[in-house]
Order: sequence, then structure tokens, then C-alpha cells
Amino acid sequence: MRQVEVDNFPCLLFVTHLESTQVLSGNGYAQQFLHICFDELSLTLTDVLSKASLIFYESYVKPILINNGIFTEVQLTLITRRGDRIPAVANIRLVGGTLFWAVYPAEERDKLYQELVLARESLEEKTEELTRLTRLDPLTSLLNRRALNTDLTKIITFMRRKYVPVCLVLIDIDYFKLINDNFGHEYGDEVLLRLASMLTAVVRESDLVARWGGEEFLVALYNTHLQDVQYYCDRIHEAVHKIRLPNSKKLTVSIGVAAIEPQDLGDKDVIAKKISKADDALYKAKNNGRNQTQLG
Amino acid sequence: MYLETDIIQRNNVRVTGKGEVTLLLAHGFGCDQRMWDYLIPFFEESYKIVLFDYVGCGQSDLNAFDKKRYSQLSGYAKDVEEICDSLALSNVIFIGHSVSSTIGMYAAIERPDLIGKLIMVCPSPCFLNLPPDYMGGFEKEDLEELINLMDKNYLGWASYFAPLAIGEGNGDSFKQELESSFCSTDPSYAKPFAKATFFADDRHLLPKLTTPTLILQSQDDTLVSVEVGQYMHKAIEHSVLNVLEAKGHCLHMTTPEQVACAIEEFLD
Repeated sequence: MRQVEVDNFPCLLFVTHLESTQVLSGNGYAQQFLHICFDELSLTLTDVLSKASLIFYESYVKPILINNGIFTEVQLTLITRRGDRIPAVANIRLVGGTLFWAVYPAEERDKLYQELVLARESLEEKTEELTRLTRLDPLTSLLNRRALNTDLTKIITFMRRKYVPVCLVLIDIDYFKLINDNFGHEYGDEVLLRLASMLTAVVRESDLVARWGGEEFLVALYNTHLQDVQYYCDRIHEAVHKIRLPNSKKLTVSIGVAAIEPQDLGDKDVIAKKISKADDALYKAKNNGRNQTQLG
Repeated sequence: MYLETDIIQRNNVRVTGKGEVTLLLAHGFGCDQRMWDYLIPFFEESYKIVLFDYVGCGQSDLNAFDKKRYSQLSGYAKDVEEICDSLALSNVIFIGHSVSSTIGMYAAIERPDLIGKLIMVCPSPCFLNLPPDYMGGFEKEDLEELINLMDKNYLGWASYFAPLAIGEGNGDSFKQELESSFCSTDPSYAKPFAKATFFADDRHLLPKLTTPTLILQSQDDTLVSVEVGQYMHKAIEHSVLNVLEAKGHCLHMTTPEQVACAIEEFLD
């Protein structure tokens, strides 16, 4: 092929030195497009690529070229001598210590990709928001029953590899029906909200707090032995007593606790069984006069 | 909920070489531990070599990716500390490329017991131009364009691998394909690392570093100027600056023998 023919291809062809990034030669189309004469001494990639493209080149493209010898379809931004910035797609091949570039301007493709990037970002945001919404109880913003089950299942899977003590604490507001009947549902909701924020305040980041049912809350205490739970529950009782009802009586809760022991982990229904055990303890607390904790 | 995981598996830790002294090799932004393959032959006879991928890079466990932790270089430094603790390593020679030099600096300041010597290959404590005192080489807009380029290139590669990506079940093999392509840019993991790397200004750490440090620089590096190396050398008390007669930002890949010589000289 004659040089004049190579010059006429609507594709920027140029050759650079891998180590120094010096531009060694190129076709006529590339020179016209970039308004650059490749005969200029000390012309390097910094003269033809945007700074962001240079980082991308050094971080991704060059290591792959050294390793694989070829890199196809990389999107970069060309900089012309006039200062224009042109999106382009490059195929690059390493032969010896020299890089052979075939670059075509891709403004339309870039516009499409920009739209795709924006569309994806907006989808990601929506997905994140939806995921958040499906996991949370709308009133208290605590985890809902499903989310707690999902998270607890993950913990159980981990515990099967390496045991960590976990305790399930089931908390039920005493006489909640009466509170609703006497002071109205709005007030009942307020009590639920106050209890929710109180529970969130007394747990660690590694613990889970969920609204388990109407006036029932479930806390999973991570890395906690059954013998250490009483202290935590005492703090809950104490904090709950600070909530005064309109008739000046203290709010109280009953608590049932169950620990997940190593021998429980072989059981497929370990979560359901342990929650049922905590529930039994909770009923014991209720039957025993309420406002107390029972360990299952 | 934080779950402890097997650090060795999480960070795809690989131990090779023989020797009493350990070299911990930390890859830079964009790639994974395989970028050290060119340097390893110079050291494997006399050093124990520990390689790893930061979470979110290479063959690390992507499930362990925590957006908050890995949006700061100190989060990546935790990986280094946890790897040393898991392998019961102390007093290692840490070799970090580019941003990993700063990550190593975080780890060395936080846990001086872990890192005995720090070797920085083409480091920069701040890539941003902050005139009049400091010129890191890049404007904020350049770095924003970089994030955008990462997004677009990932889309490009995703469509390139499209035949593999059809259908739910094939999604995994598509992912593996991208991951095995040496440098993966899944934006979910790469973007936080890019932001942590290129928008950081960690110059304040330099005077706090007391670990003996070698700053290896390139005469002509499109990402880091020689002045940045001089700036670091001035600010780090126990540092040696060695500007190699070589060009580029990946010296350990392009001129591994020169890098190996400089490291050996420093260690002797």
C-alpha cells in the first residue's frame, strides 16, 4: 500500500514508543485531524490525549498491553492542537517496544454511552431506594421481618463456618392494646416510634434491630453470650421506663431471649426454632407479671 | 452487620519465595497483584513474597466490598493491616505502586510494628493541583472525566462480552471473563477506588511517617512529576529519593531490573 493511500484512510494511525510515550510517526489523516505534525521532536502522548485519558492509559491500558500485547476498543479523549476534545475509540497493539494505534473518532458513540451511563446511574439510584424501601418498616424505619430473616440467614451461614455467639431478643410492649384504646392509635404509633429510636440507640453497629410484628421488636445481638444479655435487657427496661404515658404511668415491656448455640446450627430451621424459643420465654415473662426479661 | 471473613481468601493472598524477610507487594489503582509478576523473579530466591488484591480488585471477594470503607484510602490500608495480622507478619518490607505507597503510609503510621521499611514506586500524596504550593498534575475536571471514561469503557467492554452475558446464568461467566482480563473496571468497585485515589490529599501524613522510606521515581512519568517526588522526600524524615533513568508510571513492569537494583541497594 502506498503512503498516500495510508494517509487517506479515515482512521488515525500513529506509532508511539511504549516507555517514553514519544509519538514516532503517523498517517496524514491523523496529522490533519489533530492539527499536528508528527515530525515535531518531543511530541508525546500528552500532546494528543486528555489528562484523564492518560491516567486511564497508565492505569489500565498499558499494563494490559504489556501483559497481553493488544488492547481493543478503549474509549479515550483526543486533544487537538487547537484544543478540541474529541471522543475516540482505539485499538492498540504492542510490537517490540512500540505501540501501534488505530483510532477512530466516535462522537456519536460517545453520546450514546453518555446516555447509557446516565440511564444506568438513575436505575442504580432507583434500585437502591427500592431495595431500601422493601427492607424497612414504613412506620419505624427499622428492618422489617423479611429483611431481618435475610440478614440473619447470612449470619447463620457465617456462623456455620466460624461460630460467633448470637442472641435473639424479642421485645413486646405491655398492654399495648390498652394504650391504643385509651390514648388513640396515633399515640400508639408514637410509642412505637420512641421505642424504635431507643432500641437503635442502645445497640451496636453490628447488631440488628427489626420491627417483628405489631408491637413486637426483635434484636439480634452479635457476638453476645446468653449470660451477658441480662445487662443489655436491664438497660432496655430502664430506658423504656423513661417513657411516660399520658396517665403518668411508666411504659413497660416484656422480653424473651434465646441464644443460638453451636449445636443449633445443623438445623435447617434454626431461625424459626430460635425465635419460637424466644417467644416462649416472652410468654413466660408476660405470665410472670410482665415488665421483665426471661431467658429461654 | 459486619461479618468477619477469611482475610486470606477475601484478599486473594498468595505467598511465594523463600527467605526470612517478607516483602509485601501492593498493587496500584486499576490492576491487581499480577502486575508484580515482572519483579518477583528478582526477589523470590531470598525473600518471602506476599501478594494480594485489594477488596474490589482482581480476584478478591467482591461480597466483602463495603462502599463506605473502600471510599477512603485508610479503608484499603486496613486490608494491609488485616493481611499482616492474619499471616502473623511484622516488620515487613512494603512495596507499593502509585496509590499503594500512600496506602502503605497509612498502614505504617497506624501500625508501625507491621511495616519496617516502605518502598514507594511512583508515588504521589495528592494528584490534584493545589496552587500556589503544590502541583499534583491534575485538575478536578480531569479526574471527573476519568470517572466518566471508566464508566464508558466498562459499558464498551460489557457489550464486547455481550454474547456471554445473555441470560441470568451466564452473568457469572461474563463477570469472570472481565475479572480475568487482568484489569477489571466494574464501576461499582473501581469508582470508589478511583475517587479515593485521585481526589485525596494526603500530604499531611508525610511528616508523620517515621518508617525508613525509599521513593522510587521515574524521570518522565505522565502521572507524577519529579517535583512531587522531591516534595515527598523533603517532607518524609527518613526518606531516600531515587529518580531512575527510566520513563513511565509502571516502572516495575517496564524496567523491573532497574527497580530491583534500586530496592536491593536501599535494603542493603
